[in-house]
Amino acid sequence: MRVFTQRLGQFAISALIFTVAFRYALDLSVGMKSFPAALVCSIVYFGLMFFAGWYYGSKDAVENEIHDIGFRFHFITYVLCIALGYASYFIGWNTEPLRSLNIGAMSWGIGLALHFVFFLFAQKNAIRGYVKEEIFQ
Amino acid sequence: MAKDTMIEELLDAWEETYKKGQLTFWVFLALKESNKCMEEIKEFVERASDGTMTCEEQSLYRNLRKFQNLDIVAYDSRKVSKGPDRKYYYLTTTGEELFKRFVERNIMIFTKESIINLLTQ
Repeated sequence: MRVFTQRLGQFAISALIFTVAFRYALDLSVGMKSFPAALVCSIVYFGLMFFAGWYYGSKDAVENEIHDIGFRFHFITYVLCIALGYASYFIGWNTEPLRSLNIGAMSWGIGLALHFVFFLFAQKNAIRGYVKEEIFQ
Repeated sequence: MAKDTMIEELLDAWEETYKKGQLTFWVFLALKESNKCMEEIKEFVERASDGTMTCEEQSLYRNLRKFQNLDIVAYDSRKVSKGPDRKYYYLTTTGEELFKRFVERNIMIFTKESIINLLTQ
């Protein structure tokens, strides 16, 4: 099964940029002790990530027809968000405390693991990522 | 509704369903004949099927890419005088085996004398 596609790469780059920008903006907002600024940053970040996932994900679905029920995009998002979350903490930016990062990584990790189980079930009806019934349509 | 009109409409509906999935058969048949580029495959499909099958290049391209990912089809790049290299597609050994088995199970039945007699009576 093809795992890494051009659209996934484009999404990863976008997510990387948005997440770094978000962490930096969060650092500034917390530094200014401005809750509204932090809230706006979070909402804008959520909107941008959602749009990027939706845009590249739908393009990827049309171009590559990989039946992964969104798992690859979810996995990349998890790795980037968690890794950059820890990175921003260790760099010393104003961000969540370590305990909060750990709880986030674990609870989201459980969600990701569940998604992976559903992904494995979905693969039973696929050959190399293509839905069996759709291969010869 | 006049009988002729109804038959014509039913025929259209049946053919629409019947033709779904047939593109693969005609593409494989084209590649069984010889290695072909996209335009040649398209031309073969239309000619060999007496114009009953047509295919959009976009749809053909997507199918060929899917078959490549499934190792059913592969291609060689050949230089042309103008423009980028042209891809000449061919059936891999997996593709040949798949097509052979499909034809044995689903097409050869139509060559049985009893079936031909029924179809032509």
